[in-house]
Amino acid sequence: MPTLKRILLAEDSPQDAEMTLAALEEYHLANEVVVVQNGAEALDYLYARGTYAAHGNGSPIVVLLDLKMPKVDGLEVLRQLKSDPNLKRIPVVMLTSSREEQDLVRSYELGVNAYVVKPVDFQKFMDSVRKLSCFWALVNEAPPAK
Amino acid sequence: MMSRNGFETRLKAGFLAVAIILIAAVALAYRNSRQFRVVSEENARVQEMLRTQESILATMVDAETGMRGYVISNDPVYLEPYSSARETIGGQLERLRSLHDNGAGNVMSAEELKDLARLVEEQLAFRAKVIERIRANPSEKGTVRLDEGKAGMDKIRGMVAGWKLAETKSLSERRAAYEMSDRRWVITLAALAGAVLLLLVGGMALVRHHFLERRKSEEQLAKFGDDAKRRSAELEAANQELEAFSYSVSHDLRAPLRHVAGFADMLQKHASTQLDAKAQRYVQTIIDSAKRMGMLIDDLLVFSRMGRVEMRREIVDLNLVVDGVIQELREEIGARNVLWRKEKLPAVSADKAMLRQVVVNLLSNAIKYTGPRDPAEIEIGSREDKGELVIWVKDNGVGFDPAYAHKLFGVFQRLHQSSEFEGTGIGLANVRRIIVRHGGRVWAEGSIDKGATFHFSLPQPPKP
Repeated sequence: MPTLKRILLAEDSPQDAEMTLAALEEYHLANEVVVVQNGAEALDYLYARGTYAAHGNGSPIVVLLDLKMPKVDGLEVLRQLKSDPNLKRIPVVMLTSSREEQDLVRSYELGVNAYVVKPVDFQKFMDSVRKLSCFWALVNEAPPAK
Repeated sequence: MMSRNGFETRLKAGFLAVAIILIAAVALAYRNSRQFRVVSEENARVQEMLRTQESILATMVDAETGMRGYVISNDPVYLEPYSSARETIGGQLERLRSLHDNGAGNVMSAEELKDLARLVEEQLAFRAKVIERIRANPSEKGTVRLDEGKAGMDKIRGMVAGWKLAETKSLSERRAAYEMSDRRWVITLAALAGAVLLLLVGGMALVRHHFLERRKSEEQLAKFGDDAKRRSAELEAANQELEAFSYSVSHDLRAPLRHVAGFADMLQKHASTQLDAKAQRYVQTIIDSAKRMGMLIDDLLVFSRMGRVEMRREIVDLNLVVDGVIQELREEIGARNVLWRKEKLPAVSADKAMLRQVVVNLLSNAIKYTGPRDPAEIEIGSREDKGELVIWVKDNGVGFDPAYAHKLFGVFQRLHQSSEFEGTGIGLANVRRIIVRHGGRVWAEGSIDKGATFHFSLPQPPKP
């Protein structure tokens, strides 16, 4: 019996976060989502330290990562994640407004699993999130827990 | 600033003048020296003539002395001077004659020469007679009339003295004349030398002036070049700043826009039962406005990106590009009746993607504004005009008011209502931006309801 499928959403904009959650509602995954507002909190959760020391939920099945966040940005979180033998299996999806080539290159170099540009159009945005969550939460096989 | 040709001409003229002066000076000097030689030769001849005349006189005196001595002493030994005189006088007279004939004629005329010869003859004849008489009759010495001979001798003496005087006068006159001519010559020479010096100095000044001018214009040119470089660097920097700004602005505007639209939508879904028709319309308006704003921002982003991206020129076959775009736009055309008239287009040197964007914008505009037409006629052609390639797109659509032609290519400028024709008004601004970056121009012709023609020019591709 698989454990609760947690999705870690690192997003500094509360409005974007709320819209994302509304989209995730479609597949009833909203209550599985842990929202953090910056890279430092994201790492805290992933390493189960600080505020999130005792969440006891294991690794999320996917991390939805925004690039531009205060304190620690998305690329730094990605780098740390993918260089840590315990965490590098966790699929990371960059979910960002930046279409900059250098951001794409850098992310893939660091080993990102997917890169999704937030559509400007809100409907397309909701649509993308739905598709993402459908894939990663339902279609994709999560890496086996260690 | 003197033109190159002016400078060269003047320099050549200067050198020519110096050459002429030098040649003239040499010619004059040569002529002078020849003249001098001629004159001194003449002088020498005249001197010799005078000497000959004097020696003729001396010879005659010898003859006289000889005769007298013999008359007195009756000793033949005194006849020696007389005999030798007789012998030499002929030669001397000859000498005199030849000198006279060779042009020492001023002093002694031919007449006088004849007189002298005659006198000499008479004298000698007289002496010979006397000597003969005495030889025959030595006792007749008392009867000899010596004054007979004296008259002749005096005449000879007189002539010789006269010639000497004449020559002396003439000589001093000649010397004076020669001195004056010599002075004139010195002055002339000094003048010529002065002229040459002036020309040389002038020439040097000219050359120096020319080189200074050249250097000045080179410095000016360099300064202009530097100025131009600096200005273009400044412009480039300003451009980049502007583009970075517009990129960040449009980028940062997207997020809240998304929220406006997104939450309006969520509101609609969430409160659909609670919203009356008016409220629904209000919410819809919010959503539509946000959508439009999104389009504007997108267009702005594309526009700014066009400026930032590196241009990569290559030889592009316009025919292929246009055909490709027409193919893509088929969906937009749908079931409408559109007649394409495409001439054979040239190959151009341009950034392929950017050129494609131009074609897309122009053709989709043509399609859009021929909406009310059936059939819509869209022509694409090209021509060569003064070293540029000009490509045009002509349509039979609703056209535009030519009075506002200058606004056509402005950012977000539209000459039609958005209710009539969709669009943000950035398509043509993009076209202009791209074509200008390629070094070309854009312009449009049209009239209300009679269609429009959009032209753009590109510099000729470099010859292979």
